[in-house]
Amino acid sequence: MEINSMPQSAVVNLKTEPAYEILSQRQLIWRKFKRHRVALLSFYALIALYAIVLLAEFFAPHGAFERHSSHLLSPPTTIRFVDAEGVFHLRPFIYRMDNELNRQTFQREYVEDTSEKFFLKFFVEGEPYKLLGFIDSNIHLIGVDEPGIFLPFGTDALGRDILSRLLLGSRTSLFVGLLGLAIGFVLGLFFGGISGYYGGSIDLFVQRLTEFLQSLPTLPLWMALAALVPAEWTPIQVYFGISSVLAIIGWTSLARVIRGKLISLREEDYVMAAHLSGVSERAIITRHLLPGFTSYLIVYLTLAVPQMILGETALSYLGLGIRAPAVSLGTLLQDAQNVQTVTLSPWLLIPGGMVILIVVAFNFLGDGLRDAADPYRHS
Amino acid sequence: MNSYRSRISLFTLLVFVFALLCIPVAAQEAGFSSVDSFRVWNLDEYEAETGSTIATFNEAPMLAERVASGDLPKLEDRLPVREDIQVVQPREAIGTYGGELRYNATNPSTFGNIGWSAWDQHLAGLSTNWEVIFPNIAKSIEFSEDNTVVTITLRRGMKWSDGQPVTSDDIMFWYENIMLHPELPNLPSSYIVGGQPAVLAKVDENTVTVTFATAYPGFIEIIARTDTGFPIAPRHYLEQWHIDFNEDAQAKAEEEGYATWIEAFEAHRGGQIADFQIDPGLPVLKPWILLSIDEFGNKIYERNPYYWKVDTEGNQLPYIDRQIRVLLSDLEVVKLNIQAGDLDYADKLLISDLPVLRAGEAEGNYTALLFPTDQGATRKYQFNITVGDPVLREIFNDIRFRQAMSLAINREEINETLFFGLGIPRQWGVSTNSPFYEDWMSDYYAAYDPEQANALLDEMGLTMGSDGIRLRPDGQPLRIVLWDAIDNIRMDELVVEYWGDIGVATEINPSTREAQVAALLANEVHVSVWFADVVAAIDMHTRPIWFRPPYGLDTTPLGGGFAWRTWWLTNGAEGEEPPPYYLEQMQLADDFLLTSVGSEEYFELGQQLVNRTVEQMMHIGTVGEVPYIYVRSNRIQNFPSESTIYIDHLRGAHSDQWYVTE
Repeated sequence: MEINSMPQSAVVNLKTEPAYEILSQRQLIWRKFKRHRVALLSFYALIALYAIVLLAEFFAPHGAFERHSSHLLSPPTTIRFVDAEGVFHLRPFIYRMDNELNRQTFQREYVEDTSEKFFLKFFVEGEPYKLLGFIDSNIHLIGVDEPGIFLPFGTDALGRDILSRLLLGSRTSLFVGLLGLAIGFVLGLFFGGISGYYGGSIDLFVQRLTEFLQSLPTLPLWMALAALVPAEWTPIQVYFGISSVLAIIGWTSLARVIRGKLISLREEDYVMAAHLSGVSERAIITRHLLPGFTSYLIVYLTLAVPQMILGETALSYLGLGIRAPAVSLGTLLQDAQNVQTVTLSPWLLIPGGMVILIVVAFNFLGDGLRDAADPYRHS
Repeated sequence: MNSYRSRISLFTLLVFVFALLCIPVAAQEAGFSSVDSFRVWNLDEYEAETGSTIATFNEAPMLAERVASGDLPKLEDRLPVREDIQVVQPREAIGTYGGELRYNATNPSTFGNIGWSAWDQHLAGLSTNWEVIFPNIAKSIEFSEDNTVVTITLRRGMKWSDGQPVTSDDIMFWYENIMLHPELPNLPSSYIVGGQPAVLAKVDENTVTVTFATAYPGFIEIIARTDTGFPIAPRHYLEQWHIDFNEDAQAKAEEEGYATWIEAFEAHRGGQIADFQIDPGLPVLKPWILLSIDEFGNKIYERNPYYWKVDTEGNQLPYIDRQIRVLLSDLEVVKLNIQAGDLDYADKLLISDLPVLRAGEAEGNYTALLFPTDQGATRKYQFNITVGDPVLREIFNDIRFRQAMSLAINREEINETLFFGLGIPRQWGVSTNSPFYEDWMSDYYAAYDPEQANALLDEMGLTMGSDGIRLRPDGQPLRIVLWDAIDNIRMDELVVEYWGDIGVATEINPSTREAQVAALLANEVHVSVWFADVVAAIDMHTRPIWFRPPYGLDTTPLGGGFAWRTWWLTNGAEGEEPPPYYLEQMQLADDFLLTSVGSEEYFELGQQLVNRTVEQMMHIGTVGEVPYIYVRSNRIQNFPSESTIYIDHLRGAHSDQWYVTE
């Protein structure tokens, strides 16, 4: 708010204050960032996405595990404005899809029953849920009256709504990886920081530790970890456990880069000046050294998030990640990796589009942030 | 003398023939009914029975060329003595020579890919629907009156695929130098009866007797199947790796890169049955011999010039020149290959693949066949009655719990959702084709009745908690973990939902087989889902694995009671003594194994065994008798029809009499 209103306030300030203003580092970064339109758009899109998936149960038309046993492998419901008689309706509506199993081809053939229109409504009652884990509700954002069934992205083989599963699955994918990432990030900063800043025997120790951890082969390690995981853990706990352990082992590359940056930066004159002025070491690291490579950190983080999401899919392949029946983008895609999906039920591939959108958005965001945060880059 | 020279039926149709087993039964007299016209005879019997004569023998053009060029003896010299040749009446028509077939295999050493089972050869053979067991590699297999001595006579003049004669020395080599050799594998358990191993003795060049401590009529089934060893080995070839025959065997093994002569010997011997052969030089008795293995692991087989069967017109079998075993580990790739017409026959497909398979039929020029199965369930859920958690153990051992869990399942919905309604919603057990089937079995606690299920659980004192999860006697919520190592997640999701509805919170743990076996041996598994085969009468008579503790293979003790089984197998030296009920069950299973197929005790004990197991609710089935999908190219002729019952991988398919039309 304050930032957006800056130009006006600057004008106002012209009369009363000197004709310049002092912008903080943060304000400078934001100004630059705003100029990168795509990045800004990605930024808002991701915020909106995180908000939607947090409240997924409300935004989803159905429950993620709610089965519509009369609508197995249903194609997406077509949203219409013009009815079978050619009459235009301002309010969108759907027809109910009826299906019959063809005993020769074993495909379920869906036909629209045009005898009754079901208008789309806001705030429809449906499957009950607990919002954010504690608010009891059964209101869904969009839906239709019974017996109409609104399946905007179609259903899977058990008759579960793909859109609802997509929203819930995105939540898993967007959040679970972040926790592991955060652990790795903090560790990388800490070990890289002390190693680069203090040098000497600390550096020696941290570097040997880094080498040791880097020499561990990941695949056998994952397998060993998978065997150690207690059987009663839910698949999500398993995935979180494994990604945390991976993060605990995987901070090394980040630590190496930070150490290198620190070693070069700590010899700079301004650091020496800070030392001589009696600035505490903590302040030197956080105020003088860290900002010197914030851009690197931001890029590292924003690129690591989509990597975590893609990594989740890869882990699922090895049977180590999130496994069905838990819902994540990875498991939804796994469900779609078959000839049947490609040739007969392509709507199961929609989660793939979601993965692409998320990864692309994060990459643009990282791109914009890097440009904005790099103090040596002037546009 | 109770003769197997003639054909003997195994299924209910001929139940009464069994009762009369002491009388020699000639096939034509018995009037056995077969699902198709596939038949076999020894040539002298064929001529006597039909009155027709096979005047000349013909061979494939590719062999005729080799004879002409002088690198192969004449056909008459390659076939056994005339009377001892096996004559095959093809399923539909006399075929034509040529062509090749491609079939799929999942990995280099997987069992259960059916390509080979359609052409594996054993001492005894099986007709299409296993109605009949006939002498195959052996010319005759005769049982003494008391069923303790079996006389096996080989075909005179029969040759291994390298042209060397097959003699009783080859059987004795298997027995004396392999099975009795302290360092090589021991005699399979199916050759140990009444606690005593079988004793084999050579009578003459072509005859061997097998003597058992007690009557063992079931032996005929043992030598008709792969699972239990192949009691004949080409001595002339294998002795070069055997320490008894070659003092330098160890040096030779090391030279070939093996650590010990045993490893080398076993490697060269491997693949006598199934298609796991890795030494192309190993002489075999199969219709095709391994020619080469390419860099992708695909195996190429070519016709065996010394194959010992002819059709009713004297044409040496097989008709088809080559078989190629294509290694395709991914089922999706298999389906793509099928659709593209690149596989001539394939299996290991799921019912959910039907739409895709049917959609590609015209373009791929194949047919997706649906074979009826002899299984009372496709998959089954099993609670571990010896689970480590003492509270859960008590709950699982209460039969009311298992009954409730079964009543909670909506089998109709599973059938419609996952099987296109092709199966029969029913309890686990033997199929309706089995002589041990009784009408009450399908419906036994198989109705969808959550109310009664809830009542049973309430009665057990598992009170419902406020969050909809029942409480165990110790006050903890009743949470259990379902292990799935067979990728059956969709059905699991439904079952877990039903169980959740009656207050039993179940978590699915998709696992690997190795992990599950480890957890089973540690008694950590609560409940697991598994395949439900091995319930056909002949199957359970050789391997009653689902009918005795641990209600699974000894290597996969799904139902628990592994320590009991150990106790039983070691005569009480190790393991734990089972409770009396399970002790009885083990005794019953062992007694059943010793009965003579078709005898009074066979039916009595078999029925008891099946009844008791179904009543125990050790296995909870969902949908049974779901058809098995088999894809075959329309080029293949003489293929079994859709009325063939699928038992253990179409072992009665007999691909040596298939032929291809372009």
